[in-house]
Amino acid sequence: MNAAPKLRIARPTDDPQALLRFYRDGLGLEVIGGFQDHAGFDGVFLGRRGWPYHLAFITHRGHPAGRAPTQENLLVFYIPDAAEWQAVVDRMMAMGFASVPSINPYWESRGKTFEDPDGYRVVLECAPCLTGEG
Amino acid sequence: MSAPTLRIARPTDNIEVLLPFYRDGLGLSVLGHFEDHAGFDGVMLGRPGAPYHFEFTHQRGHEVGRAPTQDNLVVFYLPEREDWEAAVSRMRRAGFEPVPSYNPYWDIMGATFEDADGYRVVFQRAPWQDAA
Repeated sequence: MNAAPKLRIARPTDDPQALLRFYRDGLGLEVIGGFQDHAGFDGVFLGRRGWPYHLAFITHRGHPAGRAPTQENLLVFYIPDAAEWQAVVDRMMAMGFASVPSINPYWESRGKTFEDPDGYRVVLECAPCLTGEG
Repeated sequence: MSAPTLRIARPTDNIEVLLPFYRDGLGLSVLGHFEDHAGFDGVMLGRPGAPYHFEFTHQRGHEVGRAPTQDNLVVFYLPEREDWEAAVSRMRRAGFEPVPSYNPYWDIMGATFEDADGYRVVFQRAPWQDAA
């Protein structure tokens, strides 16, 4: 096995529509697939074509998923370009998602943390901002 | 834009207990670790150069408990039979046996393993195909 395997990060949710606003309209991921009522499960996949990973949000009819267990269940995106980072942050703000203080102060100096409607968090780290201005 | 490097991070009550699963079972390398950064300990695991890695953190004096569901998953797509069999064998050698998946879909082509915190990893013997 040479290249890293393709990866899915999956979890259940009670409100996939609310997550679409966050991950698609805010973060700018694309809906790259999904399914309906496979044995009572529905799912939507978000990512970008060709990327080595994607997210999956699953609902199981009749089974509440609840919220994130902690404020430290994070996905950290290391954005390699300052202009791209600013564009994503601006789009999140424009969609009405305000950044939140991170639990671990480490992330405060390195980017912005956003909390999705389920309480799971995304950190947008501005990789060049660190070395360029450190 | 190209895919940003991704970190999948979560807290745990016992970093050491997770290491046999992720390091020995999944075969990931310890990419880094830190102790008592403002009360946080952490370890990063992955493969050097890979576009994603995992981080497990522990905030001293804070209990975080277990996975909220049996369906919080990380799925590795291993389309080559030998890769998939090697991955399953390595987990077994590390002392981890597959569990029935919460969604029966993963039992058709996959093997599901549960870590010490109840979070789960699936090895799926199939390619991941982006939608056209």
